[in-house]
Amino acid sequence: MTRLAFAPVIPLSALAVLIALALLITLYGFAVRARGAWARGLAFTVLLFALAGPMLVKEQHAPLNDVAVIVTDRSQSMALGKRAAQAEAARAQIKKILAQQPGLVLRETSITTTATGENNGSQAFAALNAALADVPQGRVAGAILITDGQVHDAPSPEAMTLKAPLQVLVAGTRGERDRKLTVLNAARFAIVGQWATLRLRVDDLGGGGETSAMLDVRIDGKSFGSRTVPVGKDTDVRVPVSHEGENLVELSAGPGPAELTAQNNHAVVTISGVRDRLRVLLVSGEPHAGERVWRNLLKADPSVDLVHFTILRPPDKQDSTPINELSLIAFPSRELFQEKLGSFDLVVFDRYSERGVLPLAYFLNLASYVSEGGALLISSGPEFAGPESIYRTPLSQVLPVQPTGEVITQPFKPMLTEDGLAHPVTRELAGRNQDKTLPTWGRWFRILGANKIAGQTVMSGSGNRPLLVLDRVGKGRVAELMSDQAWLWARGFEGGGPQAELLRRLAHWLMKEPELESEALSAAIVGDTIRITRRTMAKQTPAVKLTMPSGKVVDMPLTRIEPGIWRAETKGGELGLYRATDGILSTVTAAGPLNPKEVADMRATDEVLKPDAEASGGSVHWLEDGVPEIRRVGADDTASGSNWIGLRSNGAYRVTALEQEKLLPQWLALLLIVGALLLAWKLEGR
Amino acid sequence: VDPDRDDLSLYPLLYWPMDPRAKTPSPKALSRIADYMRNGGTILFDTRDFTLGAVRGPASPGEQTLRRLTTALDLPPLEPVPADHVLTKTFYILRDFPGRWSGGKLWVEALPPAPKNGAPPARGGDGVSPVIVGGNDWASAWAVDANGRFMSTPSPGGELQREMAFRFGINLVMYALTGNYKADVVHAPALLQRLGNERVPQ
Repeated sequence: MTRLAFAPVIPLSALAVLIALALLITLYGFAVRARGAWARGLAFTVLLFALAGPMLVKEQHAPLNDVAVIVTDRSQSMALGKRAAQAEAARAQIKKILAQQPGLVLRETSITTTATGENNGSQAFAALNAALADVPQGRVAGAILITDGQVHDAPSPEAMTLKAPLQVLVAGTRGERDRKLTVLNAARFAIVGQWATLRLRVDDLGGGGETSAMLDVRIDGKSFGSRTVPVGKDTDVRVPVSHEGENLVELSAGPGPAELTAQNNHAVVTISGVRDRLRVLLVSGEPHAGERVWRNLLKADPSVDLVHFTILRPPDKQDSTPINELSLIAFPSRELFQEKLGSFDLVVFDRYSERGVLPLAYFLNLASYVSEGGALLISSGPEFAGPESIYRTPLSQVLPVQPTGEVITQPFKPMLTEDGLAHPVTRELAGRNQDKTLPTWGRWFRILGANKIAGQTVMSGSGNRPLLVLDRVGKGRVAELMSDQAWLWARGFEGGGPQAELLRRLAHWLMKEPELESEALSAAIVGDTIRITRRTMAKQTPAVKLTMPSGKVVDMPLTRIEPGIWRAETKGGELGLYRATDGILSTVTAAGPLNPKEVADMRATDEVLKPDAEASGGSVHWLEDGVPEIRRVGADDTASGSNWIGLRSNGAYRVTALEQEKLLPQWLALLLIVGALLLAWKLEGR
Repeated sequence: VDPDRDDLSLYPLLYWPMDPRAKTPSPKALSRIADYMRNGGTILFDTRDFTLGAVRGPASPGEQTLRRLTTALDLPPLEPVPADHVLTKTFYILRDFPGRWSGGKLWVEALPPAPKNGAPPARGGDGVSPVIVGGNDWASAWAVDANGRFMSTPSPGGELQREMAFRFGINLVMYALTGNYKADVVHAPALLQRLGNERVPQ
C-alpha cells in the first residue's frame, strides 16, 4: 500500500503562519490587479510545499487474527434439567465451526459457583472481561455466552467494556415456572423464652394461579407444624426460641403448581438464643459448709437471678426465743412451688429433707414441672438416706436413684465412669482419670448408698457407687449428686477440683444447652468441606446419609475421634441446604448466604442479557430452537439475524515493511522557486 | 487445729483465741492461713482482753499477740461491724456481741459503703469477711466442764449475757455457712415479683 505523508522541516505552527502570510500577499496582489500575482503565488506554493517535506510511503501489511471468546455457564442453576447437556452440545458445535474459520482465535472460559465466599451469583461479565483483558478492542470478533440467562453482573449497556457483538445462547426452556421462598428479614439473636419473627415471602415465578402455599416450619429438626401463607406477599412467621445457642429454623414451602427445582423452596435461619436472665431457685435444707459454694457459684454469674432460701429453723424445732429477736423470714412455699414454679429455669435442692415445710402436693408440682420441661438438680447429704428423704415424697417419680439407706463416710476420689468420659457434662474435665491414671483432684469423704434406676451414671465414687446421675424425665431433666462434698473442691482441699466447671456444665445441660447434648448430630461447612459431627454415648453409630442441595445422597460412615465424638467429612461445593440424618437424629446446614442469588431465580431467561446483547450489536437466541449459524461480518455490518449470529471481521493488520521516498528533492524545489520568481519579475517588468 | 499439719479447708470457721504464749506461726502455716482466708474461710480472732484493766487498749497482751501473729498475714482493712451488717441478723437479731465480757467493738472487713439510692454495690467475692476481730472472750462464755456446768460467769450481764453469747455464736456459724444469704433474701420478694409466668411451648 502506498500513501502520501508529510515530514515538515519547520514546526507546524510556523508553517501555518507562513501559509497565512503567503495567502494574504497573493490575495492582495490579485485584489490590486498587480501583474504577475499568480506567478508569485506559484513561487509561494512551491516554497511551502517544499517546507512541508512531502514523501511517498510504501507499506507492506500482514492481516491479524480476530479473537472470539466462548463463555460457558457452569453455575449451579445450569445443573437443572437438560441445561448442562444443551450447553455442552452447543459449545462443542460452535467450537468445531469456529475452528475452521480463518483468521480467528478462540478463547474459552466458564462461570462456576462456589459454596463459600461472596454472594455473587453468576459472574458472567467478570469471566468475559478477564478472558479478553489482554486483547485490543480492535481485534475482538465477539463473545458467545452460553448460559441460562441468570447472570448477576450484567452492566448497563453504556458501561459495557465489550465493544464487539455479544451473542447469547440461552439454555433451558421458555416459560419455565418455579416457586421460590425468600427470607426477607430474620433476627440473628433472640432472647430465650421469647418469640422470634421471620419475614418471608413465597413467590410463584412465572405465575401459577395459586394464591396460597403451605409452609412447613421445623425447629432443630423437629416439626413445628405447617401453615398457609399467601403467595406474593410478605408474611411474618413467629417461632419460639426455646434454648440457648443455635436454634435452627428450617422453612420449606410446599411444591408450587409447576416446579423447576425445589432448591429455592427452603431456607435455614439460625437464631442464636440468648438467655435474658437465668432464674434459679436454690433451696438449702439446712445451713452447711457447701451452701456458700452453691451461692457463690450461682451469684458469680451476672446473668443469674438467684432466689435462695435456707431452712434455718424447721417447724419441728421451736424454742422460747421471742419471735422479734429472731431474724427469720417465712418460706414463701406457695408462691415458689405453686404460683411461680414454671418461671424458674432451674431448681436446685441442696441437702433438702422433708420436714413438714412443704406440703406433699408441692412435690407433685415439682415432679410435673420437671416432666413438662423443667430442670432439677439434687445435691444430697445424709438426709437422703434417712426417714426424711425426699425420696419418700411424690418427687421420687422423677428421681433417677433410690437410696439404700447407707451413708458411707470414707475418703474416696470421685471418678468419671466410661459414660462420664464421653458425656459432654463431664468429658475433658481438668484432672480427670484417664485409661490407667487416677484423677488428680481432691478426695471427698461422704457418699450415699444408692441404686441407679434410670439415666446415666457419669461419676462414681467409693466402691463404684453412683455419684452423679443424669436423667431425662418427660421433656425435662434431672441430675442427682450423691454427695454433699463438692465444696471441698471449691475450697481447695488437697488441691481442689473442677467444681465450678462441673456444676456450670451440669446446670447448662439441665437447661438444655445444645452444646452439652449427649446425643447430637451437627453439620458445619468448613471451607469447601461438609463436616458431620455426631456426639453419642453409644459404642457404635450408624452411617449418616447426607443429602446435597441438588438431591444427591451420600452415605458417610463415621469414625470415632475421641470418646463420645464421631466425625465424617466430605466435599461440598453446592449452595443451599445440606441435610444429614442417621435415622434418629437429623440436622441441616446451609452453605452460602441466606438467600443465595444463584438459586433465587433459576428460570432460564433472555431478559437479563437482552439489552446488553442488542446494544453491542449482538442478539439472544434460545438453544431449544437449535444452535444458530455463525457468520463473519464486516466491522460495520449487522451482526445477527433470526437464525444466525455474527462475529466481526475487524481486518486488523500488522505492518511488516516500510519504504519512504522524498517527493520533492531540494534542488528541484530551488529550481522551481527561482523559475517562478523570474517569471513574476518578467511579468511585472512589462 | 495446727495450721502446720492440718488441712484448714475442711473448716468453715476457725476460732483463734490470742494467747501471749503462742508461738509465731511458721511461714508455711502463714501461707496456709492466707490460702484458707482466700478460699472463703473465716477466722474469729479473740483477744480476750476487753476488760483487763490497766493493760486494755492497743498495748494489751491480747492485742500485742494479735499483732505479733498476724503481721505476716495480708489482712484486709477492717471496720467496726456496722449496724446493718449481716452478722446482726443471720439467725437472731443482735445489736452487740457479748462473750464473757461485753462492750468491745467487733471488727470485720470494711466493705464499700452502700450507695444512697439503695442499689446493692458490686462486691468482690461473696462479701464474707475472712477476718472477725473482737475481745469479748466468747469461748469462756460458752465453755462447760465435764459435768455440763458453765466454767465462768459472764460479766457484767450474767446469764442473760451468756444467752446473748450463744446467740452470737449461732449467728457467727450461720454467717460462715450461709455467707451473705440473709442480706440477699430481703430482695427475694422483689425478685419473685418480677418473675412472670410466660413460657414458650417446648
